[in-house]
Amino acid sequence: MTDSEIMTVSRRLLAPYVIPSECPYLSEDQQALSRKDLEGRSAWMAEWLLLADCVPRRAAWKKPESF
Amino acid sequence: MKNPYIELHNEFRKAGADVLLSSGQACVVFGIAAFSKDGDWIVRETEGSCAAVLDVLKQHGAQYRLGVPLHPDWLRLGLTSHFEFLADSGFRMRTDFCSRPPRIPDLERMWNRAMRIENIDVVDVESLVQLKQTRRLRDYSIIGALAEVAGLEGNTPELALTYLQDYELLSRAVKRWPIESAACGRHAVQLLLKNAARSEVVSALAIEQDERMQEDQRRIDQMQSLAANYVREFTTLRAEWRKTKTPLLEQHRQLLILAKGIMGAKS
Repeated sequence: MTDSEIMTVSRRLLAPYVIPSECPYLSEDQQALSRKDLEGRSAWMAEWLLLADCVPRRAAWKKPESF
Repeated sequence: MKNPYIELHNEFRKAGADVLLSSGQACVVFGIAAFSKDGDWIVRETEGSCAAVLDVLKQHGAQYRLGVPLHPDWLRLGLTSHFEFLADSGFRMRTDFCSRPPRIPDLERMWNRAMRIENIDVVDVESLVQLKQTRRLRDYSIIGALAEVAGLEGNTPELALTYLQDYELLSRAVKRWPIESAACGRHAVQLLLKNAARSEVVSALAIEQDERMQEDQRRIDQMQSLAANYVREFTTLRAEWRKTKTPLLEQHRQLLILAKGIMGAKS
């Protein structure tokens, strides 16, 4: 592969694109993510991080304190 | 909503560090991975870039996690530096740095092909595929997906033929690019050209994947054997840092001494 080919294809993936529906590797979340632009992907990631952070907090809240 | 890892990346760049987003966050930027909990960067192997990264991390109150000091002497061994801190929004940021990512044959070429777009500096797709050939099974779905969207859909035969991970798509690629397939050294591709049974092709793909996973495991085992005493000493040092609230640059100074004492002077 030439550098130019790799850079072209990399640049294309940084723009919104559609993952084929029969793709065996990816979930619907990933299909939705690929349709977003860079700003949208960045915001998506931020929301996921926030959600991930909520999980241990909720788990900790539910856990009874030891007496 | 702002992505704290992208914001941090921009802070590194503003501070003068030459860094590329890689691994999980790079997969998110390329639209392939829905989520990544930590940030991985490739940092230019210079004292200037390392110092700039450290300066930004210091401002965030970061602490060292188990890893080598962020310094070219240690990064050039293929080792990695790890940090963590609490972001303003409250969640834990984990940041990992290397200068010589595994399986990248030509580092300068990787830097030349990096994507620098809209405040994002990210490794190219082929480098991402190569560094994702880890010991973790889940990374091979990412590799397959990149090979599909960048190779098969993106009309880049070598990427598709070399990295697709499943029978159906690989056989489609072989039918579409018979000349490139004939020149491809991959065993599964050669079996498809010979109209071998599906089970043979599937076995070849599974064996190849397992070989990659074993190679990565051997690499990690080798690093761990090199650093066995270092891990013990680091754990003791970190407990002391936590007790005394040692600032990052002092942690860095102490870690340089520890690394040199245990793993030898590297230059």
